[in-house]
Amino acid sequence: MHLFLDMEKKKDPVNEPAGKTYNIPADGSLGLLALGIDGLKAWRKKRREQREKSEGKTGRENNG
Amino acid sequence: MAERIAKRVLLIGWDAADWKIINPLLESGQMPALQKLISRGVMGNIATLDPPLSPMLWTSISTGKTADKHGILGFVEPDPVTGKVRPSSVTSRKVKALWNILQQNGLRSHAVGWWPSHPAEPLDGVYVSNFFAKPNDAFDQPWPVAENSVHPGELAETLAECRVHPGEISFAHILPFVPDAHKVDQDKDKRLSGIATLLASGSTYHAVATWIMQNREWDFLAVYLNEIDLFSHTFMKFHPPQMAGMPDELFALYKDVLNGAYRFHDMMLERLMELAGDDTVIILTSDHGFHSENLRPKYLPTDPAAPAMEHAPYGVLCISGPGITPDERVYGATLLDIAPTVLTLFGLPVGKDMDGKALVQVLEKNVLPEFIESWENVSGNSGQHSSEVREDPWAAQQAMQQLVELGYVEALGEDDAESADKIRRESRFYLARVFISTNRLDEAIPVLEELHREVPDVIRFGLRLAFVYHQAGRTEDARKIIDELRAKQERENDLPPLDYLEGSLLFSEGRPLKALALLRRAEQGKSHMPGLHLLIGQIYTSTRNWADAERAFIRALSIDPDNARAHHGLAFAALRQDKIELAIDEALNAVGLKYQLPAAHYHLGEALYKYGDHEKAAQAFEVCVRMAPGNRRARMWLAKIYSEHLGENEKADAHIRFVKEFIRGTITVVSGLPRSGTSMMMQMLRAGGLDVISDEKREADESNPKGYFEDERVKKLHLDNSWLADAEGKVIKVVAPLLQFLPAGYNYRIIFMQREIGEVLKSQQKMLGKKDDKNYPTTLADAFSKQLEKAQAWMKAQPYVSFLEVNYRDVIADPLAKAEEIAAFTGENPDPLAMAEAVSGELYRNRKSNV
Repeated sequence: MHLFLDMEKKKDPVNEPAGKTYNIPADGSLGLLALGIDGLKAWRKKRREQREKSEGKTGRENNG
Repeated sequence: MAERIAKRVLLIGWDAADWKIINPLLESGQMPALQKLISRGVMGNIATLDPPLSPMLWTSISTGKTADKHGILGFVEPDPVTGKVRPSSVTSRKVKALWNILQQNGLRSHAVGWWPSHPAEPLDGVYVSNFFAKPNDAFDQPWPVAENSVHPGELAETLAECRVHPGEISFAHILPFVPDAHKVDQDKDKRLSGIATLLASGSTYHAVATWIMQNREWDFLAVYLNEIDLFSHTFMKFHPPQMAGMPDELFALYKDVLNGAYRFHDMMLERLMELAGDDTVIILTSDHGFHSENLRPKYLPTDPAAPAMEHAPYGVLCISGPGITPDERVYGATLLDIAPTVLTLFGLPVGKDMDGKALVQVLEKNVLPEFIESWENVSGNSGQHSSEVREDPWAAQQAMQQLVELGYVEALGEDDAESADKIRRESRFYLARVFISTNRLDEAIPVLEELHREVPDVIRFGLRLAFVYHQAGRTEDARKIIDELRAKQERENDLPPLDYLEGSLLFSEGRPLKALALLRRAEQGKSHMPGLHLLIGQIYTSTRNWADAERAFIRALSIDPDNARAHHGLAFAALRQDKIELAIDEALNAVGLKYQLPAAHYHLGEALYKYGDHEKAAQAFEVCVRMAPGNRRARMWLAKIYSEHLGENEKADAHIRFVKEFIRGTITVVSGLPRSGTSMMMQMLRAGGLDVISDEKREADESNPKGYFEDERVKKLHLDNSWLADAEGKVIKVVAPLLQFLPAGYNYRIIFMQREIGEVLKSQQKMLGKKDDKNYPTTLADAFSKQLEKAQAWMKAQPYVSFLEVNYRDVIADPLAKAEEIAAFTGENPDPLAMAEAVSGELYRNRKSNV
């Protein structure tokens, strides 16, 4: 089975009109690459957040 | 100034995209963006140029000029300063690209990733070169933007964010291409990292394009993506159907990769379409197609640029948007047409020095393109490099290594000078191919002669030289080279191309049977020669061997089901075997694939007539005469159908008038002195399948046991020649003294029989019942000789006469060789074998002993 993400046909494909963000996978997706610079930015932001979250958790565990 | 049709133009380049891969994806709804583009505009094939090497082709697309004019002659070039080899760079482009011309006309133009485009041109808009995406080795190391890859330079830092490093690509990106990626042993099999590299580079240039569209005003944006070509070179061999010898496990792993690449490009296309908006004209083009299915080469030689043998002659073209005819097909486009078309869309004149044409047929409005002598003479800031600009050798060396890794370029030897020399020869070779493809054989020949002299052991240079000699009608020179190459030929794989070339040569010389023997041998080789079976089919057709022709065309179609000429050949062979429905189907297939095939429309008409559909038959013949107004037979068919079946006498008369006024009919004439072998020749031509005119009043006898093939009307030719119209397309026998009474108004092909006068006289004496006279009839011999001289002088003097002198003894000595020569001369494709069989050696011997 193919795992291609179908692109949403919305004016702003990363951010929904109400401002609610999609679930951007930290591992990225072809859909995000295909969005161009917006997709790259959103993915890298998510990756950064994920990394920070993971580092924070590790830090808390180490401190706890 | 002409009307501007397009507000904006987005030119998207997909290297090597091919309809054969796209069509099934469109049908299954897996390329929805492209489907939308097609429904809003035109789609069709775009013909590539020769040689099909991407840097040359994309520069022709952006300039509208052939490579000899634009100056990019291959993947690499010698560095003018160091003498070493460097990747072809944009500083070598001698003419303006579209973005330069458009900028001079006040249009905001940007270019992304074009090949070649490094170092970045100083355009007023954003210009990102094809060195921009090249990654450093490790993801976690600093990755400075390649020097001179971005203009304006101050944007480099901003655009750096658009770059995707292969190290960023995760399994989430890879799995859609290789669902069982976990099974790959990546220490041994590097294909997954290859996919990551391609995804990263494609995504990079795509992201730059989206950045420009979102952050800059633009009238014209050109974005080029190389990845479909690179995916195809690595993964076409895994694409279904499974190739012979492909292990099941590898096929299962990688069979989806190519479809994945196309689908990913469709996703990127959707984003570009969205950002461009509905008021933009979008042109999507590839530079060539890519051989798939049975056309995949069985092996690639080690020659430089050998991977280009996988390139197919037609790429994809879609033009879509306001002002473009929706949901239509475009025919007859070539890569050279893109630049003139873009200029016309912007209401700008086309350079007369451009080699392509504006595709005005795709426009909703009737538009006549305007012209300018040359855009090269227009002054003002075009955003081109100044002449002082020099190449960055480090960046060049990096890109060079990439080309070597991709298999496009032979690995450099240790000696730089030797490498530079090799590259120089390659570029000369490509230049010669450009000359050949633009029908400038006189310019190609000296280049190839020089190459062949320099390196006589390089078979492909010699082969090409022999091919050009052949094209130029220098048969002897071609044969000399072929013999030379045969003597040198060392590799097993060099033999089939030699056989193929010599076979073509023999066929064009009218030696179909000898040609066939060589072509059958060529069939046994592994070489990639898609045209081979087509040529074999054409030879069988030329000898009226319909069943074998049918088999050959079916074989050609089993390799390439979309070959219009093979479909047409099959239709013709079927028609002559009265397989009418097959003929109709195949003729329709042929014209569906390539509309501009007047002969296919002709045979479609003939098949439909035999099927009883006179109206449709007339339509097919009408299409034929629109494409080939001088096709006499099609017009005669139309006259017959209109008058006999459709009751449209005016139309019938119009075609007959056209024939009488504008088309000169051709009559084949057999001539010579009586008893010089004229009846034998008539007999041969009839056996070969030609229609001979004879009233059969003079019956066969001991002297001519198979008949005389004479016609009473010929004897009165000097009194009445009105009946000659009946002889058009047929054969008549006219004795030498009467030739001069053949009227002007027809073309005559005269087969003039020669026989030693003494033999002729003896044969005549015997026929007249006179006993062998020991006195040689000198007076009669002189008179006949004078008649022959007179007839020959007359034939030479008439502009509408072509003639072939055939020696009677030569025919008897080698009937087959002469039959082939005569068949070729007639141009009517009689079967030489049947002609040869009609010559009875025993009969000749009998006569000889009795004369």
